[in-house]
Amino acid sequence: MSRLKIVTTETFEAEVLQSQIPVLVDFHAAWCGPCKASAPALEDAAREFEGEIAFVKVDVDEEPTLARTYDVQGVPTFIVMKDGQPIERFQGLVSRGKLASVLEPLA
Amino acid sequence: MSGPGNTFRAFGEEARRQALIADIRNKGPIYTAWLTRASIEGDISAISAEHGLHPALARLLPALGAFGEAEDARSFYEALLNAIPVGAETGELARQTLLLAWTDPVYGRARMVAPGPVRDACEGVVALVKQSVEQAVDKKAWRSARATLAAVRHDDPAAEKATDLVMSLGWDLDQAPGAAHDVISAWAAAVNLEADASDEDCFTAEESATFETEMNKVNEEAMDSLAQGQSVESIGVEDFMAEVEKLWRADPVRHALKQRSVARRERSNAKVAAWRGSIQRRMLDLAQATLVAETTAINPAEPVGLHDRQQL
Repeated sequence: MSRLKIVTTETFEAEVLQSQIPVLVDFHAAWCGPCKASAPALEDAAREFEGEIAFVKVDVDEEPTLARTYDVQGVPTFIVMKDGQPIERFQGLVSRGKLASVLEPLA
Repeated sequence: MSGPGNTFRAFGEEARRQALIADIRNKGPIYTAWLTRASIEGDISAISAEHGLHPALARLLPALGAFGEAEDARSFYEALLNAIPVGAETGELARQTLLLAWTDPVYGRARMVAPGPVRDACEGVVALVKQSVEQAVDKKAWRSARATLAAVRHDDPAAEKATDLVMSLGWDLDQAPGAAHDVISAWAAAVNLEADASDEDCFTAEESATFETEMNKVNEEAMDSLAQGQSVESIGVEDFMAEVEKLWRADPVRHALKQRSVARRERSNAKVAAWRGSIQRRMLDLAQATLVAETTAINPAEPVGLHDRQQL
């Protein structure tokens, strides 16, 4: 079972914007190869930072409003949110090293 | 010596090793799923579950064969699998091989990081990887080493790619075996970039822009030309490539640019192949040096299982 919670337009406010801890949002699509290839790294990071950083995913095809709101031009796009604000974003196939670089200072 | 994840025992029986080698030799279904690009997106846990190879080892091997594109890699895989004794624990081999990404005198990333806080922080991560060969390293130690590197990494922007690789080294391979794939991929990408940058006939920025524009134009022209006689969906790859080649040749100026690009790519590929060959040889040396010693320590009276299923 995935450690990344699926978030929708309806749940984004509670799960992301009101979160007490930083949240990494994975904007992905079912047809996207790099999204699938990034998934194991995200699962590992979610386990590693459990309780310190939340990991959620948004399907851009299912949630176009969220994708537009956060100006997601391609997938996968990762946005780190803290106190309801985006503080970091990056795009493309992600490694555990990249995730650690971004997330260790926040944990 | 064996690392903390001492639960995967190679092959279980000789016949299983031979079956894996035969599949690689014949490029069969396991080869296709495991040692090609399919491994990046696919689930290759069967290699560990059915063949007893440590998951980190299974994940670092595809890049050493250019994900199925290096024909000569099959002999390396066969030699490596033959060098792994039945019942051996292969996590140590994975860790030792990944350490080469930092320590190798020719290709290691240590060459790319100047002395100072960033290098010290990288060395801190590498020290944990070395420690993990012999004994378990707790999560706090990994986290602390990564946090130290994350805090200083921007002090040396020139070493950014090397520190990214070291950040991927700083994971417990029993918990996150996919980090092995991250390390070897980052290393291959860095070697590729260096090969391009050191080429004897590098494109200028202007030539690169011109080449990209011309390439896009040629592709569009080829598609337009072929689409006149058939639907776009029915255009075959071979026909498309032939049309593209014809268009390049029709213009001597842009054809010269294309020829330079192809020659440059071939030189870069040769340099990357030299890296792969070097690391393959070092990995074989490591396998022969470490795994033989390991096997002699196994009590022959003790039945050798493939793995502890709880670890899967």
